[in-house]
Amino acid sequence: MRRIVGLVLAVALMATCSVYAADPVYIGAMGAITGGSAISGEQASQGLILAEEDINAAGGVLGRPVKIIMEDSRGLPTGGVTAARKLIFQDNVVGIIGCHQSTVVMAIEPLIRQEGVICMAKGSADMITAAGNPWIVRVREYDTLAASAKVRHALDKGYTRFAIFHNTDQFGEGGRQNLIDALARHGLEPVAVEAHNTGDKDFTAQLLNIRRADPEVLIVWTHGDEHALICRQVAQLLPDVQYYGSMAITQWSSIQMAEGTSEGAYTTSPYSYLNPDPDVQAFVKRHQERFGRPPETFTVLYYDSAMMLAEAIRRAGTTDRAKVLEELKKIKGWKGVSGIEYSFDERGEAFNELFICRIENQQPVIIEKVSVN
Amino acid sequence: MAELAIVLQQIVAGLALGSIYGLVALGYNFIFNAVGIVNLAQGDFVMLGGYIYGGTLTLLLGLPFLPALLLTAIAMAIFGIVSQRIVYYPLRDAHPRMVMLSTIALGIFLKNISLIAWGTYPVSVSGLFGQRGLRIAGVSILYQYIFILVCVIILLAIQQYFFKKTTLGKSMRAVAQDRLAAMLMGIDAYKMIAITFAYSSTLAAIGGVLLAPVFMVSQVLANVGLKGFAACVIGGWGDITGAVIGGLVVGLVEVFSASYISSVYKDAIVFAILIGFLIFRPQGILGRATEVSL
Repeated sequence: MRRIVGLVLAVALMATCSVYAADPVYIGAMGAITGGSAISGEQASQGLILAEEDINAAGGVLGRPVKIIMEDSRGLPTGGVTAARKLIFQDNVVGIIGCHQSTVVMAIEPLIRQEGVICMAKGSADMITAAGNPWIVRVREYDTLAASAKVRHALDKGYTRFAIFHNTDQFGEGGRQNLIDALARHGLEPVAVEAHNTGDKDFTAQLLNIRRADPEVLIVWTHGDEHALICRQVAQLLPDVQYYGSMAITQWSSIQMAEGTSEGAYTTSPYSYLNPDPDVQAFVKRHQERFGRPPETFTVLYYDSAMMLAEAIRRAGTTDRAKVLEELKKIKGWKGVSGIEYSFDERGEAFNELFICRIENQQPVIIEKVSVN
Repeated sequence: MAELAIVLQQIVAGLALGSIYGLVALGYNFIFNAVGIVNLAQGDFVMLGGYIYGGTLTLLLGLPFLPALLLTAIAMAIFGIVSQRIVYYPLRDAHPRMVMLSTIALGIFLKNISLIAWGTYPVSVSGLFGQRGLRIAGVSILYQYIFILVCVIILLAIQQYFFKKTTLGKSMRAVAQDRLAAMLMGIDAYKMIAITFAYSSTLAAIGGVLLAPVFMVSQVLANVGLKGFAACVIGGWGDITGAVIGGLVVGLVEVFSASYISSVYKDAIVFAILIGFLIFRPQGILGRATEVSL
């Protein structure tokens, strides 16, 4: 009798074990799902939905399914910290993908360091990896890379009079400094530097101040909604100036919003849905069928990050964060659906190349691929 | 010459922005006059009008401008009456502060419901003129800006006529001045208040329709409510002409302070002036020196 009870208990225990074994591995993510930057959060979510499907279709990780939990940062540092705390303490995630805003990443940085959680940041400000937090890696082009590529491209075209118009958040302030530094390396100074806040709608005053300085090139460093409005107003107020935008102007939505006024603008971007690369096109087609529009930059970057994190968990053979991080940083030459090959360097940067794009016939056409070296 | 063109351009932008703020301020004033409360969801009404016009009627149903404008106005008038019934009527005997709190709640509700209904992408519509404009001697003026100015002037004229000459307008003013006395004279005060909400929502809707081609429609559009509020205070609460003048002042201050003081702190400067008015001239530029207890 005792044996039977023991057997039953053993079977029961094994049953519970196997239930536990089937428990999902949680991967956290954050983005602005509400608030002024809610577009980016939605784009990110769509990438994660597809990534979760693909990871689980490939058998999950460690024999367990993967569940990606997306939290709303509201695009605000406070929202980001709340979201990170929930992901870390309640959901016990292996890592957090995001946020896409540098300001939010910097706000959660101390918590990430303290708790030892992997953070695959999507903000582009240099300070994210310069903070020296070993837990943070970045899967996005960083601003010095973008700034020097833009400046070099404009100089090659023979322009020398540069004006800068930037957002006042961490992303924009960082961009301004990177541009000034990049110009200084060529012995130049901007002829005008102006700023605006997130959510601003009218830029007449700043653009007129820029007009006074009579620049040949205007480099704008800001986010999607503002970018589209700035394109429109630049077309009115500075029609003869060559426009260089942030990555945001290559976005399908941004081009629509600009109503043709972003035509001819150059930018640097980690991705274009026009990239003829078959991997990119396969993803574009799938996304188009599923969500009715081509994937945007954050869609592919969040997707690629989730896929790489899952791969790192597989290679580590555990969800132990330190071991997963170690494997993640070993990833070299990983081809993403963005069209970029990611190789993590010692700083945690996955990017060492990016595209120069030009808006032609309302499409972000890739002009060339530039690399760090 | 180049400098003159720049200053003229600044004035044009200031007036265009200002007339929109004035339009929003008018909406505040009607409700304030009728029931003595500030509808803090006025900016959200503008946003909702923009979404209905841009997101649903133009992009989804493909209606041309005029039918879309008319349908938006009607939809928003109905919305005004309904929201009045929910937000104001049950609290009509409570302290005005309570009603104002409930309008804040309505605003939050509208922002979030519009996120669900129309999504996170800003709605971009071309309106009648798209991004086309005039260019005279280095000054470029969007046709839409001229259109906004003309619309505001026409609305102002209609309004003056309506309140001074028609029975309905006079009844509404009577309710605003003394609800009890008006009721004793046989005026259905609550009907008048419902009409006031409908009208003020219609004004917001027109604001949304006019703004959509210039600024696109997103949750951020609701922020014009704050500038409209500042316009009301600066122009004088309850004063119709004052609202428009206040709007123009706010628009011009915004553009000029951004040009010559700081583009980053332009909103802070506007609100500092607002606080200055609240302290030193609470009745505003044109306002009557009445006591307002909030």
